[in-house]
Amino acid sequence: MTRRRLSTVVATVSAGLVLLISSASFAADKPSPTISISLEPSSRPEVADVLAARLTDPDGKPVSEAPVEFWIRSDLLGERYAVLGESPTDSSGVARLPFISHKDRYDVRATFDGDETWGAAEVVAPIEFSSARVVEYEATDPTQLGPLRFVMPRLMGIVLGMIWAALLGLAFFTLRSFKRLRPGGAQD
Amino acid sequence: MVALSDRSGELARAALAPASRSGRLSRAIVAMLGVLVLGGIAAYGYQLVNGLGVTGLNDDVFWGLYEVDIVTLIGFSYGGALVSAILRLTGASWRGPITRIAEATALTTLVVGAVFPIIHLGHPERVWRVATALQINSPITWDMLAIITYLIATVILFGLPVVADMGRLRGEPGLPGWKQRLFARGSFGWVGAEEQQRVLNRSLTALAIVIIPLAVMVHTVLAYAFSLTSRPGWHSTIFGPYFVVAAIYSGVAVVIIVSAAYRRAYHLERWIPERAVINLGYLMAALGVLYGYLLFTEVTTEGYVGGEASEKLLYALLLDRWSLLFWVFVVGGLVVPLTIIAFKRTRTTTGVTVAACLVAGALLLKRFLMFVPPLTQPLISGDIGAYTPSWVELMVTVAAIAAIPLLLIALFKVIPVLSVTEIEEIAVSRGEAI
Repeated sequence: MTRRRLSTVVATVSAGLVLLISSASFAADKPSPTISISLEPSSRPEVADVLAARLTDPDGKPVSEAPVEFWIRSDLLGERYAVLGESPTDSSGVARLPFISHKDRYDVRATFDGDETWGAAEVVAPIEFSSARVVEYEATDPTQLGPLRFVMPRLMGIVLGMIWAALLGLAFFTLRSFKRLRPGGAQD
Repeated sequence: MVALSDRSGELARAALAPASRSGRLSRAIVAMLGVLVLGGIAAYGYQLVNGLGVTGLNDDVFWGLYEVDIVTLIGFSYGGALVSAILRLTGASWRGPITRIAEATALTTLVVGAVFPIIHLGHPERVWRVATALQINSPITWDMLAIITYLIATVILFGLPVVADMGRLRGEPGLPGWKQRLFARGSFGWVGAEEQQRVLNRSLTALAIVIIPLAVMVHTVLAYAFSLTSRPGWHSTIFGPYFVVAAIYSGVAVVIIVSAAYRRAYHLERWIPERAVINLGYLMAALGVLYGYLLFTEVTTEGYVGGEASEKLLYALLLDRWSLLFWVFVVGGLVVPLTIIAFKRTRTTTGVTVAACLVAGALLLKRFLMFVPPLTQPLISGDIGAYTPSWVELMVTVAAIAAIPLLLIALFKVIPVLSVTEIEEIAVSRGEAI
């Protein structure tokens, strides 16, 4: 009984391994398209710029209907790529994503995860934006209570500091009083 | 005088009983609690290696059992400290045997509860970023500062009477050498002189005055983490008082459980009389009625206005998806405990302890109902979210609950379980034999 169970486990694991290796080698056999990235003129420049990723096969022909993800290098809890969005390539092999720039230069990454015909592809390229097109972040405060945002936490910090000092002072002076008030004083 | 001295000796022996006696049963309990705690540590280790993906948390329900544990355990703590402070300020003569247990419960539950924000961070080293990338406008920052402030106040409230007791008991016969040295060093020269007693009472009164508003503020700030969001079910002005009353309600329940357990285990019936346990039961009942009223107010104000999102949430809570848990809470956390305390026949130490166990468990469930159902409701569009705590979260939670009695046992192995100085002082002031 135990031997039969053991042989079932071995057979299952072997089958799994074979499947894994064959799928990996199948994936490795697929050719990867070439991907490039650029900034395109926008049809509505007042709204946004357009990032464009072009996907071509080894013969230079466009790869259409392929989903491409766009990323930018950002510093959010450490340096990393943050995803902007996904867009499929059109008949000319170009995937486009509208993008509002907040800096004049980004490291933009475009990735294609591959499909049943093509292997995965990836590119990272620095993209320069015209400084006139950069939208600066502005601290906006729609409420008239805005100044309190500065004052209140600092006021709370001062009050908290006073509470800490009072508590620790109370403990210190009480313990010191015990020593001082013992019969015979604090000489020993 | 001889009789008084004998009784004083009995009191001292009773206060040190948990430190000197440990039977087979108590060793078995410690071993069992230790295994549960180790299991929780192992589950946390697994989470540390594999990431927060091993929890049941997801894109919709991003706060789950860990947050329930934080609020519940810190609530237990506030309840313990508030009981002690209120009884001191009101001069309740039956407080003597209760205050030490209440303060120790406050301290241990606070220490265990304060670990959960770190557990939920995934990577504990990220605590450092709370300090280095401090966001002064964030409720989380103020939560952290509030908990630290409260920890300082609780340690002092707990520590000052312990210092007096160390002075009082340091010459007690049968005390091991290391403990005699510890008590002598920790007594800070306390010999029970009238002036020392006066200073201690004045400091404890001042501390009790400070700790009541402090506990209210601190638990209200904990409520900010929820109510400062625009999420239906959380964004409510009632959340502050709701948190405070829930904390005291469950805190009193835990003090009752711990008092009853030590009373039974170490035969402290003479020093923790049934009257003290029943009085705590009355206090718990009053808070239960208040909590029930706040629950009624929350449901009626939200339901009467009938905003679309609130109405969906209330429907899910009262009549649909979460209704079983909700009504279990109402019956188990309010109706049954209040009924037990209402009738003289069931209003005994055992009855009040059963009621307290129900309240403590039901308030854990209530926190789950306060935090999880609102998160399952989509804010913009999409499907209703779901959340089931994983085995990792459950094991860590069980370990935290087991850690509380384990820490209390360890604490009372070193310090007296009864506030000897306070009991003696109350007896003297009332002209009674101890």
